[in-house]
Amino acid sequence: MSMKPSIPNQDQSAQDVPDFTIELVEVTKRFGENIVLHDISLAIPSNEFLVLLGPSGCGKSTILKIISGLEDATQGEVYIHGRLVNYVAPKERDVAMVFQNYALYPHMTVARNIGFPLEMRHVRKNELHEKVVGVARLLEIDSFLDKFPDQLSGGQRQRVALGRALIRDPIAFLLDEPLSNLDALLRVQMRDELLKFHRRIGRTILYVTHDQVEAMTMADRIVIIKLGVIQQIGKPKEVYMRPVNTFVATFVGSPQMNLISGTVSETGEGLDFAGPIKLSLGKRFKLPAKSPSVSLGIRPEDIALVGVAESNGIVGKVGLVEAVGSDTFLDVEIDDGVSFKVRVPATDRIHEGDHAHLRIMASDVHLFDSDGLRIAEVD
Amino acid sequence: MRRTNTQGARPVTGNQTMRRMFGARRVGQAGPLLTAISYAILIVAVLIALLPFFYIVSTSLKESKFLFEYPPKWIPSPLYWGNYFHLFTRVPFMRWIFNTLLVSISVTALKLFFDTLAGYAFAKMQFPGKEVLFVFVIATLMIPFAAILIPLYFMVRGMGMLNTYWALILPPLANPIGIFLMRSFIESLPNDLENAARLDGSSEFTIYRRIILPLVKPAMVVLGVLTFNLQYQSFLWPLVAISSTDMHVMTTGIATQRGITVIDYGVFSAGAVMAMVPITIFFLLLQRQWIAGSLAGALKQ
Amino acid sequence: MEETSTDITSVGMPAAETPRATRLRLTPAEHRRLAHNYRLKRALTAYAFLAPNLIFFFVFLLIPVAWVFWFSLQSGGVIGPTEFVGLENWVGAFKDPLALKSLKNSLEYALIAIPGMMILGMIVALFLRNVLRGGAFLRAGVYFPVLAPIVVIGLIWVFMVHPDFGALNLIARAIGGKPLNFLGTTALALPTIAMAEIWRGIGFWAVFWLAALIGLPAELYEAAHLDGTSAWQRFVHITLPLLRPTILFGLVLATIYNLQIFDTVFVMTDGGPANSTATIVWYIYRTLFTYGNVGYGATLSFVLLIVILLLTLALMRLLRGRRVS
Repeated sequence: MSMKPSIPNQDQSAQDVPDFTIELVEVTKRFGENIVLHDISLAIPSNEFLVLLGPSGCGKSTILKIISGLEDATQGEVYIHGRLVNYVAPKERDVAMVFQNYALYPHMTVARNIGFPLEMRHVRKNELHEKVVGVARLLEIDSFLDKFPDQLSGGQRQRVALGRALIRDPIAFLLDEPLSNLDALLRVQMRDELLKFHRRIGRTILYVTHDQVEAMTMADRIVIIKLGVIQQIGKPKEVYMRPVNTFVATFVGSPQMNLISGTVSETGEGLDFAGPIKLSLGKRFKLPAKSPSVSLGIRPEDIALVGVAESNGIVGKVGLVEAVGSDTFLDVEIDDGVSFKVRVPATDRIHEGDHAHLRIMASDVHLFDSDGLRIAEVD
Repeated sequence: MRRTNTQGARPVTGNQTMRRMFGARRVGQAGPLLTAISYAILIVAVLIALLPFFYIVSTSLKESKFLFEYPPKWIPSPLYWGNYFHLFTRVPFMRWIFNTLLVSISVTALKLFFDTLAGYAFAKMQFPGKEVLFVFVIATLMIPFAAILIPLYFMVRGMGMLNTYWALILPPLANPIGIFLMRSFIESLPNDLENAARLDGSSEFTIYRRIILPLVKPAMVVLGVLTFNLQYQSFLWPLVAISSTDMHVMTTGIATQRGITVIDYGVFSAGAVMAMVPITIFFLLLQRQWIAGSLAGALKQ
Repeated sequence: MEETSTDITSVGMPAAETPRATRLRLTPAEHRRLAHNYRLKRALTAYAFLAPNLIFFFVFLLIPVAWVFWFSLQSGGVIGPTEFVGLENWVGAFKDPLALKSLKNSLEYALIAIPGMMILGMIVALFLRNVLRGGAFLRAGVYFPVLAPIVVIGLIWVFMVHPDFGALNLIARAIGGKPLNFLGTTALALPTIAMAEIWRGIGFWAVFWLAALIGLPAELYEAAHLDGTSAWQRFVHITLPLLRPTILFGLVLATIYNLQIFDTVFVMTDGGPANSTATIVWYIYRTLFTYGNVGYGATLSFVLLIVILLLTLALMRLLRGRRVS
């Protein structure tokens, strides 16, 4: 299935061997006064499934548009397979994109939609048809080849869009929130299919979403973006376990990490946190230089409901009880207006209004300084 | 038109518009008395609108001398075809019909092509000076034709085009309404559609031809109907630009008969009737699109 | 305890300390040059798309407008050569009684015709909105006169108002009145032309208003209906305010059209009787072919241009002003 046009490698210096499929170097995008992307630098190796994650309007789709050439970067450089592509037309960049609304040509059949890129390259009819059928079979849409897009369901349309991208055999696939228009059940199904797809074709996929569950389950690495600035890049586990600032900490993980503000003070045995709760943090962290004000973060699953004896003196009143099947989440009010979300096994019998004793292990705590940045651990 | 032009949305065709307009009765819809009055008034309005046409058809079928009899016969008997006969023999009316259709269809076809091109450029392409140019194009809408009649005449004369088909076809192409209409419509097509095509390897012209053009058919119908109608009715310019009898269009032909045939009312009215025939045929055939067309055109504004 | 990631592309903060592959490799100058070429190509494609239209605009619109101004400073021209007479034409035009009369006639006519066709059209539209079945047919019927070339409309009405056999006079006679020579009477000629144009215009405006009315949100009416308002109240307090931009647009459109009527004048009265139906455009046409003093015509062309421009701008500002208050 290699119908790729050969890419002349414009690269100059010997050391710049293209081992990254896509690279962005200090890419900035401005719309008039508005800075949408700020100094974005990324290096994406081949066959990686990279997810761009962030809230609406953070600029993640713009990154895709800049990589694909549908928008120009105001500043910065974009490299695809080692070649500078800032001033190269989209069609010659060898990337394919699946749009949020699929952008299928409504007046063409599925077959013609899929085959369109080859048609544009003047591939001969029989060869074209063969490839279309091949791709359609792969995506299990070969029974729809004669239908029109408006006759298909959302999931089917998405596969057609994938097919149209796939048939070009591009070096990378750019997917712009492909699952956001599908219903919940279909979304889960398609997630798996996309992962299988990735494994099968073995190419770089750049995936944009605002859904952190998608990101966590699918990504090799996640890039978290807020207001045009990269917050953190890392493997899902890493981003989850070691979030780099409070934004990432609260954005990733559902339900959200609990975050309380307070201060730390140095004692003989390390740092002590004082706020809505009091906790000894031991020697894990160093005192922050700027200010003793910190935010303490603890994930719901890292708080345990215990008996009085085992708790660290954290006690609260149970508010909302959300049973979600395998787990139950409690809203425990520990202080005026401050509550913790706590995960307990579904089997625990706990009711609204009960008193809850909580235990937090100092080793599970995340600490952030007054700027919201992670306070590194000392080891 | 069965095909949709955006994902899932249906285009506004004549059918659609009418169904939307005459859909299920909702709260606030007129009660029976008001509806009856409405019908009555509307029927009167239609009669007022159509009777003069019947009147002139009737006149055209009477020998001139019978015109003055009183009380008049609505349907003359016997039907006198002499007026029509004279119409086609004394003046080259067939030729006039041909001229009118040739010019109208040419202008329409050319305008559709050029205006969709320009509309696409304004709607979807990036280039310096886009806003300024567009404002300028729209501003020219305010130039009344009569204001440039005189210089246009001298220009066409200077080019040696007076009394030719070129004189009738080319100047009308400088009308910005088409660009405006097309741009509005094309703007409403999703950006991702042409973006997908750009990635797939289309040149801008291919995008225009293969993606945009098939999807702008409703707007093209509107513009086509508008342009054709405008050209068909065009009078002042042909009057000025044409001098020889056989290059006349229908409008100028029948109006200038005054000099040629000494107030022969019969032939006059026959000319008026004949001038209505082609356009009536088109209208009956394209009725839905026509009205939907002017509706959509008005809505777009 | 998790190991910290040693992946070099894992960044903890904005990109500052990323190594190696992520440094800009081209100078700003090179970027500028390449960007320039890239954008030039795109611009050229766009201009290629615009070219035919731009050419036509330039040749058949812009040059004539410039020419009008130049011409208005000349004299003669149709047969003989032109002669620069400077502002003489402008002075002359404002002294020429016919020129002034044509301006006056056009305005008088517009004041009758514009409200006439727009209001009657609105009335028809309101009724059309109420009917379900047969609405399409009724609408087509009312719209039919719009199809006819204006010349034909003029001719039809010449017949309709003919003193001897015209339908209107026949009706007058039938009810015992006296036939009128509409087009031959100075006072009646202009209103008669207005009648013809209004008769035609109702069809257009009915469809125009109908489209606008349908575009209005139904929920407002449903709410108002539930509140117990009358149809008239709904019209005045909901329909009219919502339609204001459309009304403005329509007014501009109607003004532009009605200030330039020619076909009906030419065919029905040719300016007479006693120049009572001389309109601006008719006058311009006349100067070209009859009086031979093209300069006067050009001057009036320019005046027409300015008048229409000013009217359009004034109306626009009117709308904005009202909106703000």
